[in-house]
Amino acid sequence: MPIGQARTLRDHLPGLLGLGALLLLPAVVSDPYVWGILVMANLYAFLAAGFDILLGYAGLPVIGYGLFVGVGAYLAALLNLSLGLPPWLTIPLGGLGGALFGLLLGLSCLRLKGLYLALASFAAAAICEKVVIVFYDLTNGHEGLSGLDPISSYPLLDYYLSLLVMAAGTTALLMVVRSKVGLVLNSIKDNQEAAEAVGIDTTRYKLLAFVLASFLGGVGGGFLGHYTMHVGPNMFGLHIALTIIMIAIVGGLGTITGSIGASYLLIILNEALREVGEARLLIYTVITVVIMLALPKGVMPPLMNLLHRGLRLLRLRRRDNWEGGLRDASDT
Amino acid sequence: MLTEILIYGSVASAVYAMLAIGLSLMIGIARVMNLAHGTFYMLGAYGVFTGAVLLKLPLSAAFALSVSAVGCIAVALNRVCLRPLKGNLDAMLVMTLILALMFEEVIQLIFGPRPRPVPYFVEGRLLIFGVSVPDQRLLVVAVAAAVILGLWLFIARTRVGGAILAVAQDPEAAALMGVDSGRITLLIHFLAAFLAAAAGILVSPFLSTSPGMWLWPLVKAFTIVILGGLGSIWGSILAAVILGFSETIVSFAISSRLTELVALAILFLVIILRPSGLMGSRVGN
Repeated sequence: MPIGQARTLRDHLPGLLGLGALLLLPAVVSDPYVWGILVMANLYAFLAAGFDILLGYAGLPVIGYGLFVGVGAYLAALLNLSLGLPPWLTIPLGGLGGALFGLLLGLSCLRLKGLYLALASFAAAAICEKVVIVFYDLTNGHEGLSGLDPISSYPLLDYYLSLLVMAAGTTALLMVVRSKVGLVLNSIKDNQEAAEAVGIDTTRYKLLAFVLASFLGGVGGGFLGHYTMHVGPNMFGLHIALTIIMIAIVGGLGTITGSIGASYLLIILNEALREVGEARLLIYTVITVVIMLALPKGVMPPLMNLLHRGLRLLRLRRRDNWEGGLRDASDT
Repeated sequence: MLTEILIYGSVASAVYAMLAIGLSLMIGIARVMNLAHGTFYMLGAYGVFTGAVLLKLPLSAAFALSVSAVGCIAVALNRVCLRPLKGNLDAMLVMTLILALMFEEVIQLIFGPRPRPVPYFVEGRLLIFGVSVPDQRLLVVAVAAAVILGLWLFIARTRVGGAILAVAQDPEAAALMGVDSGRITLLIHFLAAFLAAAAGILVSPFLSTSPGMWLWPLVKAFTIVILGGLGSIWGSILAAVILGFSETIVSFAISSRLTELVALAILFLVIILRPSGLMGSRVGN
């Protein structure tokens, strides 16, 4: 999709259709247990979209993404438990805490990429995890903190609130990446020296990517903590971070919306296979490896292509001129 | 206490050196940032558990079977999962990390989440300067020294070793001289996995063999490779000794629960402050 081109209703149609479907979903499925699963799908979609900014747009493999999730979760938990602040206040504050850590990590890792950035971010997250365990008095060590206020006392309201957060977060990210910022971040990923040579302040944009992603990570962590009413040191760890990373990859890096599709796909698949046994991560890892080998761009871009083609066949044939062809070429 | 620190520090250093030298070859010559390196260590330990405990094979047979099986798994992984990524470094990082998690889950499904005990290879204890040391730990140092020396002789004295060095220096020039770099890559995968599996087997009797055991050896191997600087076996050995002894000192002086924090702090600080390590150059990119 070329940047700066005026958008028609048709361009927004897939997104609006998707949002409408998610809004109406509880009318079809009336089981609160399923709503709970969908809350997690929304949260992981939100978190994976945040990670997508880092790896998919700016080319920064921040494997320690759990750092931001953990900071947001613990900050929200501490504010809620000791000061009694309500969730609608602690979750954004958790996001700000995550963003602060993102800024600090970004500042210390400005010159790093690839392996070094991956390891440095992993080390930062693991150090924080250990520190949380060591400060037993404040954090209750391995056990973590329990008894946070729930998001709401109605499962249906939980679902709609998580949908609101997810839709707001991904829409904001889409607006950012479809502006000049997205182009600049991509140019940093492709060739940082060249971007600097044409006068782009790459430092500022990289920090922006770090702050945006870590804010989402913190908000997601806080929401997760309140929703499950528990936070633990494993939120900093590799398993949650990798789950987020795998969702972003399966959906398609550099798409934002792919994370939503992949999150729903994987979580529903996991529930469908629950009878086979609790092998969630095994299923995720196998699917991700296969997708990385078979569809390096993820499942979303080919799906969107099909959808656009279908829409055009349906009734928008008149608009199918050279402009439409150009758009599809840039979508793939 | 000084003697104890010397002995246990040497044992830790020997294990770390085996892990780190393989990883250093992998990054420097095969150009794979392999976050699944710890997986070979874990698979080695489970391989010897399967061979020696479940199938009741003689120890030497279980050892040989385990290291060669892990070596073949590494070669297969390179062929199936890494080659199609065509040198995309970020994709390789993520892919190898996901593979590591996948193997953890597979092992957990087969063997269960709880640690599986492996019996000592050699019983008995040796009295060194008034400290009684289990022979098993001394065996680790001896085998590690022999394996590392053997690897060095292989690289320095044989034609294939010369080809490996040539690819390390300049892959294109090596290709022009008729070296098949694809086969060298596979050989490096085999050797690196062999070393890591041997390390995992040696420690399996006194460290627990559990599905999650790959993570910390991986972190420590990367810490050593980056601290030592790439392209130098001696740098890796020196860094392994530094890490092994600083961990041992911290665990004796403060608490054994802080050893992981030592490696993490060294890793973070070296990357931020001196990415080229003690000797050698930056890795990749």
